[in-house]
Amino acid sequence: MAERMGSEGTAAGQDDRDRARRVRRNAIVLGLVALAFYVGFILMAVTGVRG
Amino acid sequence: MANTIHADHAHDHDHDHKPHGLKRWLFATNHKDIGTMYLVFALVMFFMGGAMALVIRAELFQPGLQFVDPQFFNSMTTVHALLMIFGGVMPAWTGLANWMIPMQVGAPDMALPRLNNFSFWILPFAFTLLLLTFVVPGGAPAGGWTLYPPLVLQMGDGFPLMIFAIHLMGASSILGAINVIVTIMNMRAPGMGLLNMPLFCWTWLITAYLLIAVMPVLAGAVTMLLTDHFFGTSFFSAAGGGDPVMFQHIFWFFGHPEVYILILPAFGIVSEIIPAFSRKPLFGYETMVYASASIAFLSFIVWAHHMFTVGMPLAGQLFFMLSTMLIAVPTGVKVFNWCATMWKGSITFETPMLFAIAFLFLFTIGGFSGLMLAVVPADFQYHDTYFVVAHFHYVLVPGAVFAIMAGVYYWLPKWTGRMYDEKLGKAHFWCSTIGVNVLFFPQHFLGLAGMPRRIPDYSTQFADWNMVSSVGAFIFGFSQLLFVAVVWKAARSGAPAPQRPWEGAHGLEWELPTPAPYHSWETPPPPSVIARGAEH
Repeated sequence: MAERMGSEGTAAGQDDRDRARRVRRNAIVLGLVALAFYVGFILMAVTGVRG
Repeated sequence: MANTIHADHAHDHDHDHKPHGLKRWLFATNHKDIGTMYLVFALVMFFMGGAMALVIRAELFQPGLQFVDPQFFNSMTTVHALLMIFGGVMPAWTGLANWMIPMQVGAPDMALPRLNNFSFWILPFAFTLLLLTFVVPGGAPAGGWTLYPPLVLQMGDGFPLMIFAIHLMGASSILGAINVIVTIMNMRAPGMGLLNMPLFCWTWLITAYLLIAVMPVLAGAVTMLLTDHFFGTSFFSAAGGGDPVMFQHIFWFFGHPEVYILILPAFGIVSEIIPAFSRKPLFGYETMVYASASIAFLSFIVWAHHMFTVGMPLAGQLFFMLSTMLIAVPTGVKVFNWCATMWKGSITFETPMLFAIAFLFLFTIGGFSGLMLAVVPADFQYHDTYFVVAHFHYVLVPGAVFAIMAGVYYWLPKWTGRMYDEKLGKAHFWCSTIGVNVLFFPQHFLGLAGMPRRIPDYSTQFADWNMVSSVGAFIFGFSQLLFVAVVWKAARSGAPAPQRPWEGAHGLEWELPTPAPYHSWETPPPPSVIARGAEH
């Protein structure tokens, strides 16, 4: 019983760690997307892209 | 089952470790505390921006210059807009998102609580910087919230303060949006699919993507203004080989999706309230989701309808006119679905429902005048007149602001554990609705008659409707004191609220005890509770 609880605890801990990793990765990716829009529009204006 | 939930959360009460005093708010990581701070901040900004609106309307009560000089009048229009958009409506939505999203998706908190604290605490500094411009040489920004060069570059010492303030507001919004997306994508309770989520979460998810795409564009545009002003670049200076119209393109590439950032969460709230008080499931849940996503997509390809009069090729005019008109299709789907939800429903008219119905009628008026403005030859006549002012105020005040009020009345019992005074709530609703129409409807007539916007004085032919509009402004403005009184009274001495004060309300937030415990959903809700909550 104790062993099963232990393995469940480990599994839950692993889930939490996975989720924390996913959260971090998502946040960084979204931050990079925002940065790309910021830099992209300035570059567009610098290089004189016109419609 | 309710007993089980109560029992689960008795545990929460035992461990309701609330920090106390100033530290609770300064170092807040709890989504409810941060949500409350956002909402209080937004309320303060609404009152400051509202006071500026009353200065504008007092000056325009009759022709001639009465109270303020023209430069200060222009500062009033500019800062009123910046405060209402970035300080009022956007933080109010973020406050509601903070309070409701974790509770609605079955999560214990937002995914990034410390980032959440940072997003909020940036804001008071940003707006302090903006308001400081009133006391520096040259005064506050006065060239309109659109910050068009070369006019904006003539500003005095307040220019860098304003640019830095806008950067900070943008950073706060981007961080808040990242938090919302990460929370919804990673923190939903097991078993809650994306298409089981309440529409408020859906519309906020779409809004958050819009924020991440367009706030950096605004930041880029104001950075270019900064370097044009201080570092000798010529992004927008024709003399140096730049192009001032380029700024307008970049600004409106941000500015039009911004309009949907302000209104999409309102669609979400109304989509929750109308079914609750019609005692029917929402008609066409999935089409509502797809319509919201379509509106968001279209918002990226319509920006130049704000600048038809700068001159553009006929193909450009046609493209932006038709793409703008296309937005009426998903918006029409939504209006149809809300009406179909109410159809043959067992409707009652409590305050949240009254505000939602007023939203439905009055936002649609704003939508129709938008459609008129999309027609290129007509826009040449309406451009920069009071017709435009009437249009966007119908969208933003009885649109966005009424939906915020509807949301506050709807969820207040869950937040405070107490009911608000229904009579006072209804009095607030009727004063606001009458006030807002007396205020903004005559502005359509003024615009059609040719009165330009952003002027402190006008020809005597416009006197009558301006007087009516100003009377409406004071009725609407002072009615909002009633809102504060209702919320204050409810929080202090309202009757205790049951777990589900609205019998037709569905969603996980109503499965929690009332008031919602400081830490909600420490363990994810069981599938049966999710299924009951997801009865759209």
